[in-house]
This record gives sequence, structure tokens and C-alpha cells, in this order.
Amino acid sequence: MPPLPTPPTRRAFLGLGAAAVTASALVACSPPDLSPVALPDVGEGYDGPPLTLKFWNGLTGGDGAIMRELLLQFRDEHPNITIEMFAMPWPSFYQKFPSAVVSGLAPDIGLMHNFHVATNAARGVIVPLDEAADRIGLSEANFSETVWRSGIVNGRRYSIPLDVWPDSLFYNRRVLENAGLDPDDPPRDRASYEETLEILAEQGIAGHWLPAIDPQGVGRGFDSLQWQFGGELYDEEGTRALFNGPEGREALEWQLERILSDQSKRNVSGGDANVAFKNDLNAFLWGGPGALINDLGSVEDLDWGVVPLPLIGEQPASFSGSHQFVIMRQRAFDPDRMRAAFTFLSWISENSIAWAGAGPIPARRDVVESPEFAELPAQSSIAEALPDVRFYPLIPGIFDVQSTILYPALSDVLLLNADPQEALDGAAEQANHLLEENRQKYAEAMS
Amino acid sequence: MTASTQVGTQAANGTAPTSARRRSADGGTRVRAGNASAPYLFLAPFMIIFGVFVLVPAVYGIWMSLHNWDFFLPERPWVGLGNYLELFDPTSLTAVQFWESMRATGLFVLFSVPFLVVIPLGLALMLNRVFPGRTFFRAVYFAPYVLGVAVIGVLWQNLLNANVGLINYYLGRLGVTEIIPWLTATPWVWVTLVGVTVWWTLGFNAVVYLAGLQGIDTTLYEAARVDGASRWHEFWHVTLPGLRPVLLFVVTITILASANMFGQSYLLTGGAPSNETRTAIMYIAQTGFEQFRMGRAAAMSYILCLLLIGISALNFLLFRRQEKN
Amino acid sequence: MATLTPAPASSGAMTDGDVRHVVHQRPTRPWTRVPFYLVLFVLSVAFFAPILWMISTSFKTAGDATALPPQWIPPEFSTDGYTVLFSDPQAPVLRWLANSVLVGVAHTVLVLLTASLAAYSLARMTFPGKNVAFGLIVSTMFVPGFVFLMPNYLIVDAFDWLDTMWALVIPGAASAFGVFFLRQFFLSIPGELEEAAVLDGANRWQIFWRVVLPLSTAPLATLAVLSFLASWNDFLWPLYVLFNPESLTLPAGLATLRSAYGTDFPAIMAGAVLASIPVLLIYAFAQRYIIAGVSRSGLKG
Repeated sequence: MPPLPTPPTRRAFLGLGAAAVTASALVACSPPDLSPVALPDVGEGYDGPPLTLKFWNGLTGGDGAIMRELLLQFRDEHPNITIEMFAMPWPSFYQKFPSAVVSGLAPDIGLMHNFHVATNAARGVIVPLDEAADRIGLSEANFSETVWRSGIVNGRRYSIPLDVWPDSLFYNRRVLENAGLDPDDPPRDRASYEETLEILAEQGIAGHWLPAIDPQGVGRGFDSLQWQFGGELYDEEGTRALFNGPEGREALEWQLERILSDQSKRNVSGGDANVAFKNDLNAFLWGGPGALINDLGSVEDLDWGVVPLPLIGEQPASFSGSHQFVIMRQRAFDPDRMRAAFTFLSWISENSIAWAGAGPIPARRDVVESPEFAELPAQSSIAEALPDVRFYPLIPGIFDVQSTILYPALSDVLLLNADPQEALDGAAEQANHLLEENRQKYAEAMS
Repeated sequence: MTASTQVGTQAANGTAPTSARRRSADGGTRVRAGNASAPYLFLAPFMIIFGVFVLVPAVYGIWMSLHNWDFFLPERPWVGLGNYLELFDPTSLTAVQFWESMRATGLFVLFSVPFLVVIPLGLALMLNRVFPGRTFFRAVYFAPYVLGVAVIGVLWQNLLNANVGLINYYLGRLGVTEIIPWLTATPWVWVTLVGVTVWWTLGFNAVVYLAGLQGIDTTLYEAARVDGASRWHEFWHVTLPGLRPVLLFVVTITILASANMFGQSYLLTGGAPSNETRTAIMYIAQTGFEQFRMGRAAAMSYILCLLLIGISALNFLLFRRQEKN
Repeated sequence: MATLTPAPASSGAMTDGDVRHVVHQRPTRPWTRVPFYLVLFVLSVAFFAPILWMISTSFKTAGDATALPPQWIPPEFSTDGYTVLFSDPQAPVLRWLANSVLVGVAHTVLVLLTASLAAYSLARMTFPGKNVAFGLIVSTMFVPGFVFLMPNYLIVDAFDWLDTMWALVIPGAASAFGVFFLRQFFLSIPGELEEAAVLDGANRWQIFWRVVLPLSTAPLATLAVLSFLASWNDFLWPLYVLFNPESLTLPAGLATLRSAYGTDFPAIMAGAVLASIPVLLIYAFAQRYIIAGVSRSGLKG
């Protein structure tokens, strides 16, 4: 590095220092104002001049196309409200929208997974909707209970559920048939599931490509299995990780066994499993109907069916998520825009049967019980599992713990790089640290 | 214009400012046009941007790193050196993950820099000959660099897919029976990241070397040839010493570029398996922009930065020592 | 942020077939050329094949894209990938391309302008504070850009520049390397030329604009190429300061495509092809200048 030509004068330095500090002070603007804010006291039914609402979500797949169709339909019925939708990959959505709120670039409406609601409520970037829900006539009576309650944080409601999508078993009928198995009778319990995989393996087919790597998909099978074996991921308050108990180990060892006995390929990513299923290379795919029903339905030459996850453990349980609507915090709320937003939320809730076409099960009870829903074979087959859906504990920061600590550890084991118990114990220890840190961080925010 | 080799070489020895001082001691050029404010007006546009986006952030970043600076919290309590101390506390999760990411960056630098220094040199020596098609080959090797990291990332993700990818298929044809998990398992992920990076940026360094080779005084080669020196001897005693400044430059920018690695990991492995390939920059970005703990992220950047400056300084010293011998 | 830290260079324009090589070229026998060409050829294939594969895959059906054995020629020629992209309001690839080019050009112009003005004053004028300014600039040359990531995000936010082009064009535009590099060159310009201009009654600005800059096309071109490439290849910063689909640059946009179309390889490759073709075309025409520019950057660090 070239040396400084001459020692700079002290005065010049002081001057520069002063300038820098002044500029910093200017920049070090006050922290964002995210204190509780009251929504304008309005109901639904907007009939003013045309306006455009911004709606952000992570529906980048086929589900996005269906949502767009719904938006067009809404516009036909409400010509003065245009909903402009931006879909970005979910990880970017969760990273970007809080910053956007702070910077005054927030959209009006968002759609997010129920396990992110608490985190963002604690940050103050979404607003409580108790009164809003009342005003547009939504209450627990309309919804399935678990789903409705998953939008409540610290006794206040922050989101309006749209749907629920328990992980399910997708089966490739052609592969089963070619292997001499009954394509109309997919295995539903441990014995028959393992037997089926064994028959396929004998014919050189890895029947269930178990994702070992994939930020989202790798862990959800484990989540479901350890619940089935009677385990819990965390304790009630979300202070301690419990996934390294005997149930968790049993779940992980069952998964590992599939890989070691060639019933699954090795080093599979979620995308690989999906591609292989579409190309008749494997028989089973565990995954969320929200994306998959649509995705598989678009493959012309594929013969598939779907049922709830097989019962591998002692009790039925499926990891599930739920898309829920939220209202982003604005620097100032405009009553007209709010009215329009409520109009939309109320409308889409009532019309969520159309959303079921994208794959998920609508959250509204009256919709699930409707004859139109019964006509959707895949969706109604999955709806059997509704009583057994399980969510992550809905505490702030929980998804970070799952995705940055537990899932990488599971990945390690399924890639055959680590011992199950050691990996789970290590992850539990790290998770406890992060849970504690999250508690401190978000407690401050919620107080 | 002809090359003013003098100035350049002096810069390498850190004597450039001296020569500059010599010039300015006699008042620069004897141009007496304009008024006293002219120099400041010339300097102003640069200095404004430099001040606001380089100097202020440097100070402001230190300020942030001394606070528990969460993007969303109204309170940003002063924690002194807390953020730094935490990074050296072996029981803290942050420290464990941070040093894990530093290890990833370190490994990447260690594996990629030798390849990125040596292979382009070999290539430059070949391309320095006169033969038909020289320009074409030069262009081909530089082409991936202009595509940009995003294109490279999505392209190689497809090629290296373990189960349906092209590379594994051809390896299988060549008799490799095992499916190689290029994007999912160590050590393969490192082979992938280093290999793709070499493929992507090799052309840049090769071109810099080429220019260096052409700057070497040809009389030295002639003298060597008259002495009956072998090719090897010629390379060792004429080419390498002649390339020293360029070599220092290439080593320095390659280390910096490799330490800055972000896109390849982000796009190809996403940090997998289990955060093994999550580089320091990636972790800093995640901490600051995804978990919004900006004070902590700022503290991490400073630690990484100090290390890098140390390495650059060490480089200069080593090359200087070499020169004296 | 695109920051550049290469080192100073000389201005010797590199031309092909420079007489100097011929001089120290050893005589070679024809058969020794065979392995030489073979190595070059194999390497070229390794460099070209992936790019061809990308183009081929973009014209396949989704099924053929993952078929084994891999097909170099699409068995069924299909433009599905492109159709999907162009019908997706989320993936305005051409818009991203335009954004990238615009940002690259604006950034480059700003770097050239600010750095050349500053470098000229530091090379040719004496004024109080000059050494401090130069010292500060040089001392930041080896500070990697990521150090300023967090504070710069907040500064850009304070200016309300998030999700705009300004966030990409301006923060990285203070190129310490550029100032250092151009100053070295200006110092090497004989002073007599400027003195002659003074006798003609030119002021500082006119001298700079009419005498110095025209003499400096080579180093300016070098700096332009390096700045543009740095901006073009910048990935991390746009990923975090841009929000809406229509304001993304190519790297950030392609990253969203990658996750949105997980396994729809034709669509992803179509995006990559659209992102590459214009660049490759420009490169094919201007590669000589680009390569010459890069080569000068490192000459005598």
C-alpha cells in the first residue's frame, strides 16, 4: 500500500472528522416508528374513485397464476379497485417486505405463512386485525379452529387465514402398476409402505427419493414423522428444543434407513425428487399440495394420485402451513385504501373455493363443506388429514430456528455425513441459544 | 501514447507519491490559470460521493457496531465492544456460525487463489506466442467473465445436478459408477465452487498476465538466448522477475475477489451442506438483511476487513523481500 | 456495490501482433504445434460447450430438458421456455437487461467524470489539503466494499433511494482506484502541452477538457471497461436494495427466476440466454477493446 505522501495536518483532519460526524448524525436518522398504530375505523365496501392496491406474496408457481385469475374476477365485480400483485420467492419476500415497511415502500396487503406471522407482528411491520375481522364478519365459526387460531399472537389477531396445506403423499400410479402393485391402493401404514418400497427396490427403483438437501423440503418430512412418533419440536413456550428426544431420533433413523436400503437415492434435492416423479422414476413424493397439485397437474403425461401421509408412527400427524392475509403497516393509513383492502379480504375469503384449484384446502369451513369442493378429487382426499394437521409453535423467530439450525443438521445426517443423535443434540443446543436470543429480542419489541 | 513504464514500476515500490511530490514541489506544471477555488471545484464531485458513501459509512459502521443495532427496534442500546466480544465467545451461537463462515471463505481463498494465479499464467504464456487464431482463443477464454455470476450460477446448477445433470451422465459413460453430489456434499461442493469460479474468471487474470508479458524488455530474452539458456531458465530468470509487479497485482486482487465470494455460493449451493459453504459475506448479509441485526453484521465486516488488509499488507511485504533478494 | 481495487497501469495500448513478440519467438518445428493446439482446442470446448448447452436447453420441452441421456439438439424444438417467461408479468427479462445496461452505463460515466476531475486536480494543482485528500483516497483503495454494506444501506434508505437506480449508480461511484490510476497517467503527460494551451488563453477547465482528456482515451477506456464489468457483475447489493420486479437488474432478476422456476429448466435457461445474448454480441464486436482495457489495468501494480 503506498504510504501517505506527507503527514496530514491536524486541522484538516479535525475538519474532516467534524464533517463526517455531522453527516453521520444526519444519516443516523431516528429509528423507525413501528409503535402500535390504529387502523382507520372503516368497514368493507369501497365505492370511491378508482384506486390501485399493492399486494405482495411469494406465489411464484402455478398458484400465482390462479391468484391472478382471482384478482381479475375481483376486478370484474369491483371495477374501481385494482389489485396489483407482485410475487417473489418466499425467502426474498420475508427479507424484503419488512425493510420495505420501514422505508415507506410497503405494499397494502401481503400473504404470508402462518409461522411467519408472529415474527412480523413482534417487529411491528404488520398490524392487528381483530376489529377488522369483526367488521368484515369473519369469526372462528367460519373456520377450522386450528387454522383460525394460528393467526393469533399474544392474544391479538394479526392475520386472516386463506388456506391450509398439510404435507401429503403423492403417488405415481404408473410406476406402481408397472411394479405389479395396485395403483388404486397406495400404502397408508408403515408395514405396507415399507413393503411397497422394498418391492420397488428389488426391481431397481428407488421408490421414495427422500430430499437430503433443500432449504424448505428437507425438514418437513422429519417434522411430520417425529409428531407421528409422539414427539414435539419445542416445548409449549418455545424456550427449549425437544427434537433430539427418542421420538426425533426414531423419525430421523427411519428416514436414514430409506436411503441406506436404496429405497431412496442419495444426495437428493427437493427439486430432483420432483423431476424424477414427473419422469416416472420414483413412486412417492411427500410434499405440500399447495404447490404440487398444480405443478403435477400441469404435466400432460403423468398419472398420479394423492392421499394423506402414511401412518409411520403411532398417531397421524402432518406438517402443515397456512397462507394468511396481513395488512402491512403504513406510515399513514388512508381510510379509502383500507376500505378497499377489507373489501378484497372479505371477497376472497368468500370465494376461496376458486383458490382450492391451486391445490390447498380453503381455510373456511363452509367452503370445505361445499359440493364444489367435493368435486375436487385430490383436494378432498387430502382434507381427510385436516384434524391431524400440525404447525410449528407460533412464536416469533421460529422459522429461523427451523431453517438455519434444525434443517441443516438433518441435511447433514441424510447426506450421510453425521450421526443422527449427535447431529440432533448439536442442533438442539444451538437452537436453545437462538430461542433464548429471539425471546430477548422480540420481547422488547412486543412490550 | 507510449507506456511510461517508469511511473508504474515506481508505484509498485510505493515510490510513486515521491515522484508526485517532486513534481508538485515545483508547483505542478507552471500553469497559472484559474483561481484558488479551481482545485476544490475539480475535486468536489468525487469528494462528495466519496464522503457520503465511503468516509461516513466507515465512521457510521463503527458507531453501529458498538450498539445493539436492530433495524426494527426503537431502542438501540450502547453495548460497547459487546458485538466484537461475542464473536470471540466460543459458547455463543453467533460466534460458532461466524467462524464457520470465515472458515468457508478461508477454504475458498486457499483453494481458488493458487488455481487462479497459476492456470491463467500458463494460458497467458501459450497465448503470448504468435500463431493464427490467437485473438479468437483469447476472446473465448474471457467470454464467461462477461456473462456475469447469475448466468453462470443457473447454468452450472443445471449441468451439475447430481441425478439428471450432464456432467454426471458423461462421467457415468466414462465409467464413474458413483453419482457425484456436486452441489450437496463436501468435498465435492468445494470442487464445484472453485471449478466454476476458475472457469468464470480465469480469462480476466490471463489477460492481465498477457499485458505483463508484453511489457517485458525483449533484449533480456535475446541476451538469454545468446547465453544459450533453456526455455525453463528463460522463464525462471527473465519472465518471472519481469512479471513480479503484475504477479503481485493479480495475487492481491484475486485474494480480495475470492474473499468477497458471495454469488457462487448463493446460487449454486445456497450454503449447503449444513452451512459449510456459507461464506463470511453471505453470513454478514444474512445477519444484517435477513435477521436485521445490523450492529452485529457491521462488527463482523470490520473483523473480516482487518484480516484482509493484513493479508494484503503481508503480500506487499513478501514481494518486496523477494525483490531485495 | 461495485468497488474496484485493481492497481495502476501504464497506457501502452496492447495491439495484436506486436512486433516485440516476434523477436523473442523461438523457432518451432511444425509437429511441436500439435499438442499446443490440442490443449487450446480442448480448453475452448470446455469454455464453449456449457454456453451451447444453455442455448440448446432453452429450446427444449420441460421433459426433454431433464431427459437422459442428455440431448444436445432439442429432440422437439420448442419455445415454451420463452413463452413462459414472456407471459409472466413477474419476469420482465428484457426490462432487467435494460436496467442493467442503464445502471452500468450511468455508473461508468459517473466514475469517469468524478475520477478524472479529481485525479487532474491531484496531479496538476497545488492547494491546501491536497495531501490529506490524496492520502484518504489511497488508503481506502484496499478496503473491501462489503465493509460499507450495512451503513450504506441505511444511508441509501435515508435518501429514499431504495428500489431506485440511484442506489446502484451512486454509492459505488467514488472509485479510489480510478483516481489513483488516472492521476498516475496525468503525471506522465508532458507539462509543455498544457503550458502551450495557457499561452493560447485557455483556463483550467478548457485545458482539462480539450488537452488532457483527449490524450487520455486509453486509460479512460480501461477504467470504463473495469467499471462497467464491476457494475454488471455486481450481485449482492442489488439483491438487497431492490424490491419490485420491474426495478431489478439482471443478476437479481435471474436469482428470483431460479427459485421461482425451480425445475423448469427451459424457462430458466431461456432467461439466462436472454441475459447473455446481447452481452455476447457486444463482446464479440468489442472484445478487442475490452480485453485491451482489462489488460492495462494490471500492468505494473
